Amino acid sequence: MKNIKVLVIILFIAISCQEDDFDIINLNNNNITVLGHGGMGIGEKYPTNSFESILFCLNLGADGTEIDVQMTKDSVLVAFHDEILDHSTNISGRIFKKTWSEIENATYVGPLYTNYRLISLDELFTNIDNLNKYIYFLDCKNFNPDTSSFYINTFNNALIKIIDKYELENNIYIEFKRRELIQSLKIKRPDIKIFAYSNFATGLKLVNELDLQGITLFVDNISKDEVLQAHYNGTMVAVLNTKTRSENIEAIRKNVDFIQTDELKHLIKILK
Amino acid sequence: MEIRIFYIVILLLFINCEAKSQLDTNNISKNGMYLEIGGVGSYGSLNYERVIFLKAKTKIVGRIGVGTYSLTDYTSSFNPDIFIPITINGLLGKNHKIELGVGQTVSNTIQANHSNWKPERETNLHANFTIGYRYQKDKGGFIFRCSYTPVIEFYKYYRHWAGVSIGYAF
Repeated sequence: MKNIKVLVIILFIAISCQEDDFDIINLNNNNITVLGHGGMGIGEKYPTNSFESILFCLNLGADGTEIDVQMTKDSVLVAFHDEILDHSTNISGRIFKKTWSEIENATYVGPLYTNYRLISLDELFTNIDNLNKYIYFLDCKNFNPDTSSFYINTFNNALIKIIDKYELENNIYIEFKRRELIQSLKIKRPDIKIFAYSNFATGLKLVNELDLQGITLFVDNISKDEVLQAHYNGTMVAVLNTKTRSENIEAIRKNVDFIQTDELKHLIKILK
Repeated sequence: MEIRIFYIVILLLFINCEAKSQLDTNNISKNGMYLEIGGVGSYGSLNYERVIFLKAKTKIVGRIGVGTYSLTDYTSSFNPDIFIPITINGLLGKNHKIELGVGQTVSNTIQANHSNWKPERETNLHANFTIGYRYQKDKGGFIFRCSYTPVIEFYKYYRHWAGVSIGYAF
């Protein structure tokens, strides 16, 4: 009798973990887009934003990936997260102070005995098969303190150039933190989808003022009610920083539209 | 050049070992197998070692292993990364030993080719060092090791590393 009870409990837990248990209601056709965080996410075999990490993420069956984007002194967009190169590569300095030729041979200080290389966005998009099959969230890391219209125009022109070159206007979502960059891009190209990367209140305010598509924030910085409030406002919600399985599930239960996860295999398993 | 000298020294030591070890008692185990987590074989390796010099409380052992941390590449194809640590280690002490070693790790890993960005197998050499503690009785049996195992990746970049091993001597 005791064994039967245990069996029933195990079966109940197993059934309750099935994909169709999630009753998703959102602005993304009631689906959640599964995205890797810089490819496979933090703490995985490949360094985040490396070609290998992003390709592995797409090959595993993700809908797409988030990519951190920075611009070199000579206007080349590079997939890289940190403000300085010192901690995670074999060179030092800041990307916006270097030309592409100065950093193109830099390698990540990744897993022992490996030398995965930095990659430009152009190299990346050239070498993804079925490029238009996937969704790309470009998290623009504008560490350059320059607020001049020259810098803003140069950055946004570089984005537009790459989006147009690969015909990705329907596949790319731009994430900005700085208002002036959003305003400029919105004027240049109102068809490009922009998300405000901010806290809930500020993000929603920016969305309403500048007519943006959505907000991006950490999963633990938004509640289910706030997601509902954003959806009533016609605003989509992307969350990141789901580092564990329970945080993946927490994000799903909040009915967000996009999840940029560090626990990709689990999210694919339960949603795809 | 240094690499060639290293391999010649290892070869000579292995050739020499048979003669030396014949001089010693048969009660002393001359072989060992152990699994190392971390260590000079990257994230984990299975290793075989053989005593190549023996005198009183001092032993010199040659070790070769194989390790991997991924069986598939980034295209999800079976294409394992392979690491082969080769070391010469000196052991000082009776049951509780100090272990000092030097060697090389051969890495054979998969990464994107920088021209066509397709998976490509690349072989590299790295220097490794071992400073640690080992528990092992001379007559054989259980082996426990814990070591600081810094490496010089690609003979360019110094990296702190460590390993713990358990195994059996026979």
